[in-house]
Amino acid sequence: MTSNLLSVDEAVMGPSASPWLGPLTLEVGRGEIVALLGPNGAGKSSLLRGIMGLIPFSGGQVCWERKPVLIDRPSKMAKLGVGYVPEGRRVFPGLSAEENLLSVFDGPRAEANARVQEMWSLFPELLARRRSEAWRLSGGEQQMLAIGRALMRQPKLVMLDEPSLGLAPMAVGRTFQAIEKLKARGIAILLSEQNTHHALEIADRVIIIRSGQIIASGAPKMFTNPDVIARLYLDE
Amino acid sequence: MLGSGYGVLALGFALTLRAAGAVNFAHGDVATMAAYGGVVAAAFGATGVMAITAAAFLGGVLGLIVAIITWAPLRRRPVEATFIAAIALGIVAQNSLTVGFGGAPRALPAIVDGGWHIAGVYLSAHGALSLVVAIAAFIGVATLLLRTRTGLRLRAAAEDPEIAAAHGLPVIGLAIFAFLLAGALAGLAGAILSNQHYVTPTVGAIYILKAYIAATAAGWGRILPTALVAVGIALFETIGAALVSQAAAEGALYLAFLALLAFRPEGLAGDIQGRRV
Amino acid sequence: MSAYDLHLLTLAGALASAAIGWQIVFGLSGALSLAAGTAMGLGAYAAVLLPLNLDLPYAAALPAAGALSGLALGCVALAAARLETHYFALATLAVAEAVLLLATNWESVTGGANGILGKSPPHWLIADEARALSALSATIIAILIYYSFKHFIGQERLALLRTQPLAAKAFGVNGAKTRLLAMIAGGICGGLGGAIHALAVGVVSPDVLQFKTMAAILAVVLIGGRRSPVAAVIASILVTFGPEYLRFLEDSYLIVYGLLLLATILFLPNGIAALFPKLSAVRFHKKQLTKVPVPYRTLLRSVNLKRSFGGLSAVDGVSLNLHKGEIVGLIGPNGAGKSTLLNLLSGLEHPDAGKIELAPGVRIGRTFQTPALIEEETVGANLAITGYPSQDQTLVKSLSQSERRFLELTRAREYANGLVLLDEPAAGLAPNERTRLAEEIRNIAAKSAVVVVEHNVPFVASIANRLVCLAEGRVIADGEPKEIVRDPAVVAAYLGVAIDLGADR
Repeated sequence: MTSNLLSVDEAVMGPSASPWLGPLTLEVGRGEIVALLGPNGAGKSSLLRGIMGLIPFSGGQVCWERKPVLIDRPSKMAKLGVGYVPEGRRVFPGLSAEENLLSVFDGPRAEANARVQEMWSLFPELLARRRSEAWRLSGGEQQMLAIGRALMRQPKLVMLDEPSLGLAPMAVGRTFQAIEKLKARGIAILLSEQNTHHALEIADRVIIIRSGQIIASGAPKMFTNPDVIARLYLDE
Repeated sequence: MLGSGYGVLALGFALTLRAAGAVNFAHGDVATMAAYGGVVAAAFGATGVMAITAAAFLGGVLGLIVAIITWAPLRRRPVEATFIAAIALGIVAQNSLTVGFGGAPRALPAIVDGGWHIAGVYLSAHGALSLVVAIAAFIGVATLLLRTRTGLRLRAAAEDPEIAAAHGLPVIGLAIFAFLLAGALAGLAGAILSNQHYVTPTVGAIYILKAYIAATAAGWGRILPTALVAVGIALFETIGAALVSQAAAEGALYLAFLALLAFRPEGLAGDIQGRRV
Repeated sequence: MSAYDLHLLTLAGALASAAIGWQIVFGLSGALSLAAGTAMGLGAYAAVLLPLNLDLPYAAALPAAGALSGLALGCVALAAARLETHYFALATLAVAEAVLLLATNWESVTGGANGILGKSPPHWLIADEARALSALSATIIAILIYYSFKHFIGQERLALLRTQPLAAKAFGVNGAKTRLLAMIAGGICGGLGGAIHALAVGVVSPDVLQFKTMAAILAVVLIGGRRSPVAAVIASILVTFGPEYLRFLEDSYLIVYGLLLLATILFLPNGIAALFPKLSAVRFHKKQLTKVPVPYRTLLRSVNLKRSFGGLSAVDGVSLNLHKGEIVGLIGPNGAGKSTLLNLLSGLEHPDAGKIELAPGVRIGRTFQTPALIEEETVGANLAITGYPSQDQTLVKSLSQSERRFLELTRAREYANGLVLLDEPAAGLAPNERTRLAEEIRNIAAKSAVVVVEHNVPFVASIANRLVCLAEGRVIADGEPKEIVRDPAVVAAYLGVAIDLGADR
């Protein structure tokens, strides 16, 4: 499989005779937004966690920039240039917003501060709250922070796991605006969502996963009629 | 003086609690061993700052050993395995000390001799030095944690090791560093406490209990509050001992702790995420 | 045998009794108590003080010592009933230190730090052989108490309580009560051990309440094995006689002992007993569960259930009735409250408001999102709690994920009488396995009601005769599967379009 950024080749989780995830094959190219849609429990989260090295694949291969990667620890993909925004945001609660950003950066102080300034310009709502402890932030603010944190290492690809989960509708809107800004900067995005509405609006490509298998994929306009997706989610 | 000792000890304990998620039962014994180490150092003629440094160094090394033996291999086993391993390591430590130094209680020589009379109260040089050391330790640890990059990463890794790793942080290395630092703090505590109070090889258990009490009362591992509560405990004990008796003060302490557990397990300051180990 | 050897044997017996007592608390019930040494110490003090102050004959004092210790630990258990592992251990440690303080300072009663000399024992207890014999008796009594406790509560229930406390609750095991009983039983054994110890030594001092007693008990149980009284006896003998036969090491023996302990933890976590698997193999006997057919049609009635966590409402006014023969699919997007509702119905959580009524004779069996099985035991052992006659010796940890799900399903089915609740049973199953699951669910529903929480809507729609959709803690649809999957509100909930904004077309 050739792709210029991330490619997942026949990835499998579970016993080879009857895997519960896969075999899955997909790819993400430079600068494109790929949306993974599907009902809960379909395996979207597990796939992202597998790519990030948080849970193991039992088969298949992940390639980064056309070279195969052995994912033996979570920091591997992070160091190669993959950012991760986990399900439920999981910001570091006891650290301030600013500290959340600084804690994941590896490099000279001056550069760290420069990047933090960048984040504030990207997410102006956070600037006022930069010294607040992260657990005090609202859901939407935490989501911004989690995205900012993933951006600190200047990744080429950012994976977001259900960013709209648990957020009020307005916060969801702002979150997707933020994701659009990422796209504008040329960062590739792999997005898993249960909320199809927003995801369809910004994705370049859509992949539908159900029960651990890809059952459909294509351009977003193929799926904009809610009936189509509803049938895919709810019917046999 | 007691406050300084307890405070520093509790600081170290809370450190491993938060940073490594480990309830380090052997912490008290590390302090004890380091204290005896200080004795040995003193016997070789080291005085004052040198002796304290030696104790801290020894403590750090011991902390590392604790991490390697009890924490690293047992991370994946159920939580009590580490707990019991730490207790066992403590037993080893206690027995070694008994073998080396005998089981009788000892008051180890002060790190620094002499003292002054100020306004009718005797202030020992040892006590004064202890206070200085403790304050330095507090400030040092606080600065490390709050203002340095390493401290920041330590705190991040402590809050959410999985996500910290997913952002490239060397979580295991940081945890081991926490053990080392905690060990050094225990060493300092040992050196401080060794003069004022009779030390026996088994006193580690009592130290750890009080550190535990401080950590629980302060909300399970909020680092600085734990240290402050520990100082509070020391004050309580000192005042109680002067007013009634040492025993009564300690007894009251334990009863208060049991009451706290019964009615308000989250502690006085409250835990940030309500997360309990 | 020399007099000294007999003396050591007596001490070993005392230690063994106390260790077996701790095996009841920690090994069988999984409670990390650090007060075992205190039980022993209390027994020792009682054995000395009762004859001295109350003129109680030794024959009565020894058992009384056991009883008093049992009572004391029982009180501790009551006080610490709601605490989890670490806090429980801490609480017991605090009690231990407090008792030590008391003994050291209450000079008028306990003789303070110097202790008290015991009254001369009666003539029949003076000979070394007699004392060794009494130690043996105490040990035998401890072993009897151990096995009585084990059979009274039930081995399978204890195993479940130890490894899966939440599931244990769902299968009718009362954790707090079990722990209380365990602490009383363990306390009695410890007290007996302490009494024998005091008898052997002739004097009691706060020394016996020091942490080192607890450490010795800990060592014995670690070396011997958590659930093997016989191994505990062997270990006690090793630990007591060891120093004598390692005399050439002199004082360093203690260090060797400590290191051996550490090595045991790292390499032989289940003690010596693990070296003899055949002997220590657990034989679960089956308890018969009553399964009386329930004559009512409505098996469960619930009205206006509410449950919130920290200000967020998980279940917000759900009324649900379940009837015999129904397969009810419970669906809804993430965070809709399905798991919480299941916990409320199965009794694992209490509603903040509303009530639940079960028809008389109904017993609920359930499964969990991650199979809550006893990993180290066999399939047969896991099913023992239901009375199902399985001789299957396959270890659960060698089973695949899907085999585990089916095992858990069997356990729930066999345990239940009338109502089975399944939490995402299809997750992680391959298509052919889902077919088998569907069949099994239909079989269960022939005589009961089944509730299936699922994310895989097509699957559950194909087997259910009723579909209930939850969103944001409320029921938004309830009816025939064919209609529910086309219900606009349900579609909107799943696709994430805000319900009050209406579908965006």
